[in-house]
Amino acid sequence: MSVDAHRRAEMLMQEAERKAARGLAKESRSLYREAATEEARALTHVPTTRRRTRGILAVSAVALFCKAHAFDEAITHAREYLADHALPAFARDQLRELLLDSERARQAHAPQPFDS
Amino acid sequence: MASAEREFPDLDTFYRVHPGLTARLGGAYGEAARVCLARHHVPPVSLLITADGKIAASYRLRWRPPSAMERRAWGNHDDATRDGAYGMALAAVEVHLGLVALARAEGRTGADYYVGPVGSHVNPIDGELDLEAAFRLEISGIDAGDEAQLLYRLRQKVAQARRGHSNLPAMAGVVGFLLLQVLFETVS
Repeated sequence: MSVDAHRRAEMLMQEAERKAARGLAKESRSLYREAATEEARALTHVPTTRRRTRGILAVSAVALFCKAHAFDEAITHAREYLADHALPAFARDQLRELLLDSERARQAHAPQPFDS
Repeated sequence: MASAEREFPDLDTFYRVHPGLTARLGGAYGEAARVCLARHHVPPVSLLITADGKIAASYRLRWRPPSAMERRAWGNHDDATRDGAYGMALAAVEVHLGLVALARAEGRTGADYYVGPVGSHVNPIDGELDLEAAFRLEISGIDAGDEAQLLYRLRQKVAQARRGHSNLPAMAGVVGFLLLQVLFETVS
């Protein structure tokens, strides 16, 4: 299950990059979001004893949500993964940085008080 | 002697042994590599691959010259060098170190490839993804420049890998298209 989901995520990432290279930002973000969802799905199937694999997938999923500009989902997933203390240090370090990036980005994109 | 050289993988088909590459992406990397090589050389040439400064070998490298359309498609110099370096480094890591691209994963600062022995990305017992023995491979390329510049780029990539990912085994790989060299260094 995780192998197939990760494979789908990889293909979606590649398609997203191609769209981005052609200036199709909206389509690209939509594909990144799908890729992130697949990567997060892959993670749910990997046994908890496989810490490095889970760390790699966790970072990948959150980074993809960021690329999709889906900052709420990036924050939710980053917090959920950081609550798993079994994740290795390299993953926790990157997740913390991604969480900060996402929080800043969400703030920057938030509607202002006088926006209609 | 040229006759003692091993053949470098065909840049049109090298991706087939890498489970982490699709035909479309692997084909694009190979195409970019051919465009970058053709900026400076005419096939065949000798390519030197060095790992950790000591295991060096020379490989016979042939490639199909890029068409005018392929050259135009890779008109962005930096994109071609980056993607061509991915193709060259992944082909080199396979022929020289027996490792293949197992998976791609996004990170905070870009995409990484995880490399390892063939078949090691699927756990034989449960059939699920298994990257426990994988190395992260950070790849970079330079189009022109001398050996000192290539070594400097390698040092940069090694330092970057050390800074960013404390306890994840990693390897840096840099490709010099003019120099016809690929250097790998394990980040300990």
